[in-house]
Amino acid sequence: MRDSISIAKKVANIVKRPVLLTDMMGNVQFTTELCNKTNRMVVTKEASYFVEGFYHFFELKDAQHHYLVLDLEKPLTDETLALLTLFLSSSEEVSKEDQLLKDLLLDDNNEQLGDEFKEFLPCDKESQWTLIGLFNIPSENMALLKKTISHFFDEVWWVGLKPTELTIILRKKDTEALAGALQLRDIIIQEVYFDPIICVSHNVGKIEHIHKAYDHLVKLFETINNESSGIYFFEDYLFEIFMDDVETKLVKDIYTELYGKFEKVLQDKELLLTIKTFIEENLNINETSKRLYIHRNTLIYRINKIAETTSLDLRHFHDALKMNMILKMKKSVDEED
Amino acid sequence: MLKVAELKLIEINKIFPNGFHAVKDTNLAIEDKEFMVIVGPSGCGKTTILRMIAGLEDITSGELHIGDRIVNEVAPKDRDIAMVFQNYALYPHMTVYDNMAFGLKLRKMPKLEIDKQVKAVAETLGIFELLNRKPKQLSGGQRQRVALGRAIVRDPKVFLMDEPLSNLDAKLRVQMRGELIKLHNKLATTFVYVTHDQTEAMTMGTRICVINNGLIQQEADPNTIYENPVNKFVAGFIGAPQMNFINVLVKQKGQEIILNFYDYELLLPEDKAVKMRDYIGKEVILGIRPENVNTDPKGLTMKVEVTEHLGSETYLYLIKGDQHVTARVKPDISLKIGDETSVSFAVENIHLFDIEDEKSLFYQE
Repeated sequence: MRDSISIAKKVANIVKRPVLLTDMMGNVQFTTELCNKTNRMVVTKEASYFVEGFYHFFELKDAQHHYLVLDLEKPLTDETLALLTLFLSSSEEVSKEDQLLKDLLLDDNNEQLGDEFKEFLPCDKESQWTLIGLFNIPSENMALLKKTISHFFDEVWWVGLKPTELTIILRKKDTEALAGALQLRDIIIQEVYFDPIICVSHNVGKIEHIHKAYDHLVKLFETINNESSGIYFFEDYLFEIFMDDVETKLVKDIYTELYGKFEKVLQDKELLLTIKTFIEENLNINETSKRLYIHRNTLIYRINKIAETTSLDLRHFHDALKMNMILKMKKSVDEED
Repeated sequence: MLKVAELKLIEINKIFPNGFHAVKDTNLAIEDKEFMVIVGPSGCGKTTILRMIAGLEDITSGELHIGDRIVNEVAPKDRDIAMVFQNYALYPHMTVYDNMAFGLKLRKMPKLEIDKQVKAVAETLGIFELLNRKPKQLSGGQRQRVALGRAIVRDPKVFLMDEPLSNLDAKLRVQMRGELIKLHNKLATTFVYVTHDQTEAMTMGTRICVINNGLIQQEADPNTIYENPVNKFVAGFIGAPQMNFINVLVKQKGQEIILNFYDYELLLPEDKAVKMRDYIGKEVILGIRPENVNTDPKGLTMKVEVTEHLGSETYLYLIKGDQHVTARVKPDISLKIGDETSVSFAVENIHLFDIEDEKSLFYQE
């Protein structure tokens, strides 16, 4: 294994991009799929596919992917290195800017690289950086999407770490980026005819910290777990993100303990919708009754009924907060089941 | 070539991965050049229907036809549709001209043709003189027109509009409603318009489709929906202020059938009474619109809770026990909060609904 790691590191140094080390036995189809999904070079062990597999991949290769099968049972010979060089020379050249942007998102050791980034990312002390991640992009739409984005923002950088994703780096505060994302989504639907999942990070004050925003963006995407298309803002999902890191059993145990007290409400679709809408409408009786299309007295009746059965009066902020947490736990447990 | 943009939804269902059944067994035929308004409360499934027509959502089951072909598996870009949303999304750094031309450039349309198309549409929308301006130099209404222009230049078979006026202020919204009706007449193409606002539905639609809980409740022209609602939901949703609903008891009094509420009795005419024989001794829901509630010394005595003077008319919000009733009366009636007044209901305009399934007992197919 140590040999494999050291070879993988050498490969990574040569190709100047992350290498995914896997012990999958050389199933060409599987490895190709893995490459496509991760957009990483895959190092795998199977010797018998070495030469055959190499040319197979060579044919499959397109501009966005770089992959190679290596025999990790053997030392990295001159012959292998020569093949590797040949492979790389025929691959699309990655621009310095592209590579730096990838490093910016992935490398948590950017402090030393600050000046290099600043050459092409103009910024000053006041600059705020926000990332917009677009996910689930059909590959045939990527080119048109990039054109659309480049015309939408006056100053924009983007990185594609996977074939189905695009991360936009904006020199803007998160609130401005969010407003931009709202418009961008409509423009994408109108021009490119698809509706992506759009995640918006919080803003960071230093370009060296962009990788933190990227980590959170990825975490947010994992947390929303392929929910329907739309715009997801990091700060709106803090609770879900925390919950994602809590042991599932613990969430389930707490929920089970609380269930008895809240059963009547949790089993009643009408009351659940009432609570959800009331919280979404900032505990505003008029707006909630309008949205639910019920008389305000009916809404008040339902809120009183909820208070009677749960001792939580949703008109009070802290009670509404507690109820919101219980609903989020319910969602998490339901999804797990 | 003449475009025939008839839309047909046949037994369409949409079930989301989390199991939510958003659209149920929907059958809807939208005719060529029709202005169809799909209206319903938040979360009723109206936007999901629009997104399925656009191809942004997969259809779980059923068939969607645009013109003479089934488009379930046709890519959104090949459906010959254009969409307009509430955010009136524009490229902020492009001029109005470039905003309208950009989509055509992406589709590699020849420059001269683009120029002709953009200018013609700008003329239609009355924004020709704005072509060199950037979005930030435009008012909300002008931006919305440019957003419409971006859709119109593509010359689609069908326009899909999702609450396009909801970000405009009230005055502008009224103005844009008129503009959209004129535009529909000028373009003579199919509009599918989604809104939660019943006023928009009533004023703009040549036909209205009312949806609730993923189910089509009723589809008809605005007048029919207003005068002949199929159930209590449609009756209550369409009309502002809302129709009044009062639980009343059906009684026989000699040969006559009456509706009883407190000490107020409403005698049903023969054509209505005949339909109510099976309900004698049972409770039903009486529906009456505010304009059919009249002040009448022999009527039901109620207390004035609120008065709203609108100049040409006055709304009285009345209460008896826990029953609220809204009445539209002439502006010269002077009543104060706390006063008592008597009202009666114009029997020829009443609706009655079954208390269980809330279906209209007077509905005429």
